[in-house]
Amino acid sequence: MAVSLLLMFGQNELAMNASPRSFRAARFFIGPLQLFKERFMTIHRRPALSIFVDRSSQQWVVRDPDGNFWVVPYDDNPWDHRQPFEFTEKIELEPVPGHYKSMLRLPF
Amino acid sequence: MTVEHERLDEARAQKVPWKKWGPYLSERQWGTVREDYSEGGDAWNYFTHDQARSRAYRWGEDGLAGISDDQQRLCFALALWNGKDPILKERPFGLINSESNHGEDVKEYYFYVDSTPTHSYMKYLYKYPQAAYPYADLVKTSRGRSRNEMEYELLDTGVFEQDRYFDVFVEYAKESPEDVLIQISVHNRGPEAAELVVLPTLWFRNQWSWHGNPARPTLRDVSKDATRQVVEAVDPKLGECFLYCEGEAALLFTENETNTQRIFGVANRSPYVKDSIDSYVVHGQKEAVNPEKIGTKMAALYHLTVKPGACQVVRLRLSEVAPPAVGNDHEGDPFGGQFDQVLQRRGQEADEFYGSVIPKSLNADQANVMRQALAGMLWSKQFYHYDVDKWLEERGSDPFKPVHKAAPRNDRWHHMYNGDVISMPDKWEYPWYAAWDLAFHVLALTLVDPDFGKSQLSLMLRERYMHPNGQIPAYEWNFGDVNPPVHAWSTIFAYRLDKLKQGLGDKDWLKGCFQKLLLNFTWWVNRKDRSGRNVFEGGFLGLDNIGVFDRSAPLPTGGFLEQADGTAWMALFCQNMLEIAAELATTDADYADMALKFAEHFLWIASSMGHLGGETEMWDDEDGFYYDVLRLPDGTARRLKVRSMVGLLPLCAVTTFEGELLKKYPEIGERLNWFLETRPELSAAIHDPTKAGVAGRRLASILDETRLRRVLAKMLDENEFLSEFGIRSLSRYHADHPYVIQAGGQEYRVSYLPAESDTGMFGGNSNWRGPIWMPVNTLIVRALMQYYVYYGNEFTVECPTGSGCQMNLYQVAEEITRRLTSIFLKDADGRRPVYGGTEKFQQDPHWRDCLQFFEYFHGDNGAGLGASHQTGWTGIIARAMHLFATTTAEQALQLGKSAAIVEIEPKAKPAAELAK
Repeated sequence: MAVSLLLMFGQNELAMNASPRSFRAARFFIGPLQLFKERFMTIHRRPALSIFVDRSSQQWVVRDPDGNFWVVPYDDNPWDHRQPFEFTEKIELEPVPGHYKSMLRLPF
Repeated sequence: MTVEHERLDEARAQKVPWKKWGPYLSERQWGTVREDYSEGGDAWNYFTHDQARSRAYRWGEDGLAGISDDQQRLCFALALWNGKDPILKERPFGLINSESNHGEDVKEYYFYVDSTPTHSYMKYLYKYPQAAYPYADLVKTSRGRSRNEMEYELLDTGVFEQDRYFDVFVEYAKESPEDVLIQISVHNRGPEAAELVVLPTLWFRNQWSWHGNPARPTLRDVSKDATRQVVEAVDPKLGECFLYCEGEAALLFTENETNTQRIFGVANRSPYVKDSIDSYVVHGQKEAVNPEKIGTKMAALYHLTVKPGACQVVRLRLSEVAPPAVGNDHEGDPFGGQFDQVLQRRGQEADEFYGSVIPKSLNADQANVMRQALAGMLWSKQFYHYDVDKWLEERGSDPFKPVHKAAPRNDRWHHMYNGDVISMPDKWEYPWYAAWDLAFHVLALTLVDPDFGKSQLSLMLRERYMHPNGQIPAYEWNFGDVNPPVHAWSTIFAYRLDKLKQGLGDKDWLKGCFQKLLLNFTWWVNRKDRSGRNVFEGGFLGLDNIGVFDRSAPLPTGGFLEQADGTAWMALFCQNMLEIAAELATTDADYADMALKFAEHFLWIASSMGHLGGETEMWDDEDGFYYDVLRLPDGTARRLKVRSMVGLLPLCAVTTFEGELLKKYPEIGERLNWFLETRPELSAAIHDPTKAGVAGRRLASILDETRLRRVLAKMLDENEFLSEFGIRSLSRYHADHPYVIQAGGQEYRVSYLPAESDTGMFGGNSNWRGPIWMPVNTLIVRALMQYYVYYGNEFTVECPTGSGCQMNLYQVAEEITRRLTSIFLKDADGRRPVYGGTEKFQQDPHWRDCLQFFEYFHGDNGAGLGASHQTGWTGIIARAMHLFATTTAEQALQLGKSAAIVEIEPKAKPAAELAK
């Protein structure tokens, strides 16, 4: 399996050496492949989600794929504890990069 | 064969991961495109140095004198605190583009003292002031300076006065591939005892926050007693390793996670965040670190008081070997006598290795320059991680969604997944790969590690890098920019070198490269030849502001440019593809046809420079020089008569052929002859490729002998291109004769500027209007060698022009190399031109032999300018020094192109010549 994956991803030179002479060598040479696999095996197009911070209230704000805005607490189960976010005229939402969704433990 | 060569062999045979740990940590991850999630793509201001200590990175890590594994899961680097700075010194500080009068610039003094190619031994020096680091002064003063003033450097602030600073040396020595000894030596150069907090820091790159809760790595204290601190590091993919810390040190633990309170104004989930160690040390917040002594980032705190002139040493060991077994002595002491022995032995092995690489004919100063150049090349490796598709998705610019935000850059490069160790131009100023830089880096890297050089060339051609349409990525600021096509040139060079060393050429590798390079060649032909007449555009092509207009932007005149450099680069590309095909054809007849194809394509391109356009061809017979041609919308055309490197590059499109292909495949010769006979106009304005030279060699060259002599007369004129320190990027003629053109009611002007640019073109940090650049000088030297092995000793020119001194072209090449090398060497007064008027670097024994290999050099006095650690392509000075120390003119004539890679026994040079 490992060898076929290596060949599939064009890493012939690695595949030819996929019978490691030592565990240490195996760890070394599998490394880049693992990154590659991680990437391709985890790509799935996710629904649009936006994260913001509201500095005035010191809260994370999430716009879900349906366009609803929620305040999510920074705790262990934020999505279950979400509350509707109320806009006011003075509020300025600052965009937060999408990769923070995992840190905020959002189920998207 | 030295011990280090054996390690390289072991790594090549894939038995031992000697290169698993290395200096792969960047010196700047903040301010990069990868970390930029701003709407407008303002990378410098989105993730700042001020945020860096508190905000977890998404794509990489940075630090001082750092190392990591080759996937950068675990990092080690140095942090320092002099008791006065407002923050820990965890990473080099520098000014961003908008803060400095000449663009981004690191404001620290650090030096890559030594490294072997497997990193079995490495040494680094950082000079840390004892007074408070002048962060605000550097920014304020630099902002206030105009483009006509010099940069404000750290030495100018006075912070090093009275030598009140520490020299902090960091050495790494591998006992085995995954057992790294670390020694930090702190020298107080000041007049009084001074205190210093040393914080060797170990941390995991944060991947757990961004990947949907994968298993989290941990660091924890597993010390058994207070005098031998041990930290266990466990990562599901990396495995287990241990950091041993000698002596009594407080172990401080936190998490490599964003301080959301400081960055976003939202309370932290945990009090243990990325800057907790800073809070503990600098602000005395004892509760900031985890009392459970567990986390993903830790530092061992050593509080030193160093007497004046004295040195104190901190020793550590990062090892896969668990506590009971480490050390291999009967007590299992990781810092027993074996530690010093290994450190010393690895240093000696490094000496032996470089003793075999550096020609013995070089004197001590020359050898020091060459060794530090190569050390810098090796220290400039970096783990570069950028998944463009993921990055686009995370910024809401997923290209596969029907509705998505526009990305400021790279949205057509979503196929890219980079996660590799790559040779960087400069790990602070340019901590991202640049395609054409990399091709030059390989020339130097192959002096010490041909395998790494080859792997770098392959990498850029991989499906994870090269665009499906065949374009090679330029650099992260815009992968779609067009860099000169020098990849094939570097490929055939690396192949020949490898063939010589191994005794057998790696044809499988060469074939693989050739196939991908074909895609790249086709991309060029289909995208950059607007009219289909074999004349090429390409935009700025790495030479930034060399033109009178920004050549990558729509022209203010309308119309388009036919570029002398773009066309010359493509002629060279053709020659290199022809060379590769000819080599492959020696064992595979299928490639003979491809060789002929590229021979013909070269003739199409080369001839286009000479005969197209009538009065507006690129060649200007009056000036004896090549220029870009501006084609206007009304059908008229004019030459843009700027005498610059653009016009010298046609000289570089030259290659000799020994004739093996035609001997093996006579029918190819017949077909080529038929082609030439039926198309006499193609060879009418270029060198006649059928004319045999020395040893029956053939020459593919745009320039015939007459034009070659005329261009050389300009190039070797000290009032034009020839500087005391190499070939200038723009002729000095333009100092008194600026080139001016009116367009759209505006005046455009090019003047000779030997140092920094005086305009904001290309961000104000573009300097191709006078300075000396090492890569193009190297190309010129290569070209002269090609002409020499064809024309031989009979072809001489006056060098310098007007001097009355006649030289053959080997001597000219050697003379240019001598001038280039003299930038770094001590002159008769003991001064190194590279350090200009900086007296500290000229006089002080603790500074004067520490070398920096700058980005480019002052066109009149050789002073180093631009990125101070761009050992990258400036490191090829090592290759140039090596070439002329291991080759003679006679050998070059005899061996032809092989002379550049065959190492002849170093010739002894007369002392008087060395002194020059």
